[in-house]
Amino acid sequence: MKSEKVKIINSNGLHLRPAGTLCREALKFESKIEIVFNNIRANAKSVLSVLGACIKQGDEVLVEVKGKDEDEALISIIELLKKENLE
Amino acid sequence: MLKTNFTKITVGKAVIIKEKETQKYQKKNRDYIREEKKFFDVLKKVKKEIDIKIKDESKSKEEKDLLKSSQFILCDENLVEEVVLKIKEGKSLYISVEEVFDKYISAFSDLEDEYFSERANDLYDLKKYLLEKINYKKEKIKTNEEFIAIANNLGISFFDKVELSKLRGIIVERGTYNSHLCILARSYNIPILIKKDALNIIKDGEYIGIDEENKEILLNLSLEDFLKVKEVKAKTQKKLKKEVFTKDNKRVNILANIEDIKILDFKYIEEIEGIGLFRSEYLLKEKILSEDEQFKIYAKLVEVFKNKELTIRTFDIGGDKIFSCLNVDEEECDFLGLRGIRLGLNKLKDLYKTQLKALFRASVYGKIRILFPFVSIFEEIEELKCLIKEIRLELNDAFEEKNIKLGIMIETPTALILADKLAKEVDFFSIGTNDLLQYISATKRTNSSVSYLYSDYNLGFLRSLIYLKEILKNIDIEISVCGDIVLNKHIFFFLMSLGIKKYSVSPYQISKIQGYVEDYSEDKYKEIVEKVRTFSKEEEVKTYLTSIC
Repeated sequence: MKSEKVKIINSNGLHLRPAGTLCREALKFESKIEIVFNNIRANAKSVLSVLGACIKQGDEVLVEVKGKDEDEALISIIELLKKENLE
Repeated sequence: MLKTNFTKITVGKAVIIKEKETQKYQKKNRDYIREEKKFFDVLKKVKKEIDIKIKDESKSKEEKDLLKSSQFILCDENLVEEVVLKIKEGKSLYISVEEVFDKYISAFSDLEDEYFSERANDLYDLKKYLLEKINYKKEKIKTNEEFIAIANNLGISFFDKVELSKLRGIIVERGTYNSHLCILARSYNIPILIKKDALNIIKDGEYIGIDEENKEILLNLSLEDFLKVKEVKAKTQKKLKKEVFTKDNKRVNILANIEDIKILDFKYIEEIEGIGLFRSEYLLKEKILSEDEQFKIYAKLVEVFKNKELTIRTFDIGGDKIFSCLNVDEEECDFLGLRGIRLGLNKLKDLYKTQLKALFRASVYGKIRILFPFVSIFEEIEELKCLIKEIRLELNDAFEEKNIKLGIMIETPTALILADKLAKEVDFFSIGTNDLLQYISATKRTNSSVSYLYSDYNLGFLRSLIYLKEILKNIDIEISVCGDIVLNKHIFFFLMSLGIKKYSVSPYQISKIQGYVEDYSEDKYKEIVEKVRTFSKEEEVKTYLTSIC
């Protein structure tokens, strides 16, 4: 299991479009990927669950990854979430 | 007596659309493996349909964003897993999808943020779409007079089940004005109202009216009022005119852009001056059509528009128009790669030849103009003519030479720059402003971060059109414009002052552009071109054009 914290820079936080982009990226990996925020564990492969976590610009989230490809998955997701123009 | 403004009212007979009782109950011993497979099949089909709609040029950006959101939701891991779980519990596919979606819809509706209640609405629209696919019934709603549809809510497939020419309005009890249903209704120019309890207020068969401005339903209309509204409507309605002229009596042709033969059901088909652009690649949405299958379609169009004008553009595949049945590599055929004529003369030569043969055969029934997309060098026209020579030999005599005219799209920068040379080889030009703007301004129109550059007022783009006119100074070749930019009145006036007298737009926009034509006067606006040539910034063009028109 690997995890890393990241601050959301995207101006619209993780609303539907960026959540969708995140989801699309997460689905490429076999590992279980979760975004933990405010006691909510959102499944990164589910747009609706990420959306429901209401993550806004400036929020710090914890990305938790567990599985065979957890190393690449974590790097990829963190890099994605660090983007400013995430759409 | 009605007090409100008659022209803002729509009247018709109320027709209540009931939700059919669907088979929601599962049989005992239901085979859940089969239901699960059906679920994934439906998901796959819907994703494909949405994909095709997203690639459809004629759809508004609003609708496309909605569709893209739907694609994301359909890939949602949790949602898919939950439906599968319910199926494994023994529930029918219909009810499993309904329950899971309803759960999310209610969760989102409860959240305070307006953003979430709108997402709840998107989910509702998607749910309806999926459920209709699961319980597909292709019944047309029969009506014999102009009517207003009343329902609790309607799915977007509703528009495929009714005779659009008789649908005067829609009243639904739920949803928001940004829903997919409303977006579509607006694109068809059909007034739509959201009124809670509409089904309790309105009786089936009653004559009612919709006051769209005040968002009111007018009940118990007297026959007198009803007829008065219809009379006023008929007089003020912007009907399509068969011919349209500028203020100083110069004739301008406004034709229609189409993707399929649905145009044959269009209410004002008699009034249409012709087809300015038939985007034939959409015929290949589902599968590759044979020469005969294509011939039937082209021949029908040639016949219907026999005394008018018909321009068919050959398959323009590539960029963001790649259909799965074609087996082409997306990257190889991207915006700057093998697309249009490049693909036709290269990897898809056989397909191209088949189409050309079908088009030539159709010329027996009447005049046909064939338009070639994405030409960028002179050599391509030479190659095309060689291909056509081959076809002439193969067809023997099964075509009518004098009925055929050949043209090319001016949508690549080099085609514009070489226009004088290319003009000698073909009968007409059609300026594809969407793509031309894209390539001349060096922006990809689907890339939102550079959308500020893909602007109607991009000075480099406007100037390039002025250069085109100069390059063709001593050459007489027919030029028309097909592209969304025509909807911008300022740019339309600019194009008119360049001397362009033929345009092609969506059939639903023709009357709007005819209005523009009638507002234009050559005398009054002839200095637009010279003025625009002196500007350096977009702001200057915008200010100037806004001040004069």
